[in-house]
Amino acid sequence: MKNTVMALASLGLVAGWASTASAHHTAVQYDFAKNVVVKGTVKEFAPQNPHMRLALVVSDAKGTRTVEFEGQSVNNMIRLGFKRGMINVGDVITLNYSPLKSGVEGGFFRSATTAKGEFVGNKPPVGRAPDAAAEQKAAEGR
Amino acid sequence: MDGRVREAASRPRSYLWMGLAALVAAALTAPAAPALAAAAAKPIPRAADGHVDLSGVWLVFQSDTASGLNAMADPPMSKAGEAKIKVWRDQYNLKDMEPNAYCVEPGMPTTMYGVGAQPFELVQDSRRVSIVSEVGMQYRRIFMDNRQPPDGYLPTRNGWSNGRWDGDALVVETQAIAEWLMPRWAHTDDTKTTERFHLIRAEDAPKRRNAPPIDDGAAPQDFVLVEELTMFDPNIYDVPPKITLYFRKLPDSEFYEQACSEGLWWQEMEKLKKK
Repeated sequence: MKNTVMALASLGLVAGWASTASAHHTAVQYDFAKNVVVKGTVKEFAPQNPHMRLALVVSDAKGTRTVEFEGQSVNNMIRLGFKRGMINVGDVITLNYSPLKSGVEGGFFRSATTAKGEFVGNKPPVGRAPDAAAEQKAAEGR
Repeated sequence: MDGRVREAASRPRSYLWMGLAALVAAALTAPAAPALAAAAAKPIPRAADGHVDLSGVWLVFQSDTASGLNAMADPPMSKAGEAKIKVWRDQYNLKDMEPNAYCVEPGMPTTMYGVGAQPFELVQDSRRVSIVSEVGMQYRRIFMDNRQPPDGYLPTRNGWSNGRWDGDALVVETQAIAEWLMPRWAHTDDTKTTERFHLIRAEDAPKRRNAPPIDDGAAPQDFVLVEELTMFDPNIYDVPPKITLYFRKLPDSEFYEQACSEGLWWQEMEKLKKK
């Protein structure tokens, strides 16, 4: 259960993360009209309420760094198709996310292609742009 | 409320006759129209006490926002209401404040129209109707025996609700709703709401607009739950804000826990961690 909240808690990861949560986890700071794709290695993953948290080690022309994301609450993760063991620390995944408006790297999880090639998350809009208002509403749990 | 909805609500018992008529029509004319066949196959659901059965897990898929209202904004306020709200909000820098991020839910009426991406479960018996919202696991108890709150009852986020049947419509009146002066249908604790719940056939419901991103986009089946909600707060609004919401039924199993505040608890645990 290395990808569970409790397991991460035993490693001190969730709690350490949570200490910065008050500076995060309002959906108004994300630009839901944009979608950014990034590939990286999962450093931390915590399916928790009110928002899932994910850290990815990304290596590209800018160098190697850890980028933090947040996402849906656990009930919505279930609804979006998340299953236990789907994303694990050490996995290489490709992430679609809505970036922070501030320009700081990171954002709100939209979907991922897992190490096993499974798709999980918001279904890509068909024939239309992402519905920014609806996604923000969902991200806020409303 | 559009004409089809009103007609469906005002002629609730006619479904039985529609069903019989459809059966006769199906027997006399082949092939039967799909809508008539559906009407014959699915009579309006009824509980053991004979009332319409509104129970189930419901997810909003459409709302009547023709008046310009939406769940994310404040309805047009009176001049006095605007002034009152401005005085309160000007005390704070609210630019990035989202109470939901701290697991604080506005309660009624947001509990109902604000569940755009998350469902509620309605449980019905002859004495009480209960509504549990997945958003923050909020719980509403709607008393069907006209009991009133005790004297001096303190306002709560979801207030005190009494329900009654008006034909096949469940009418719910709620009082003792706690003050909420943040955006999204701000109100004082003098607020009361009236809700009217009823079923319409899925084919009579308005088409969905953009599905919430976590919604699988499935079309509503059989019956759609309609809620007409009006909020009365003369301290803030000259014209009572209204909204009509349309919900489709999900399988009973598709209702999940949202223990919202666990992330906040982890913050406190971090402070208690031994060095």
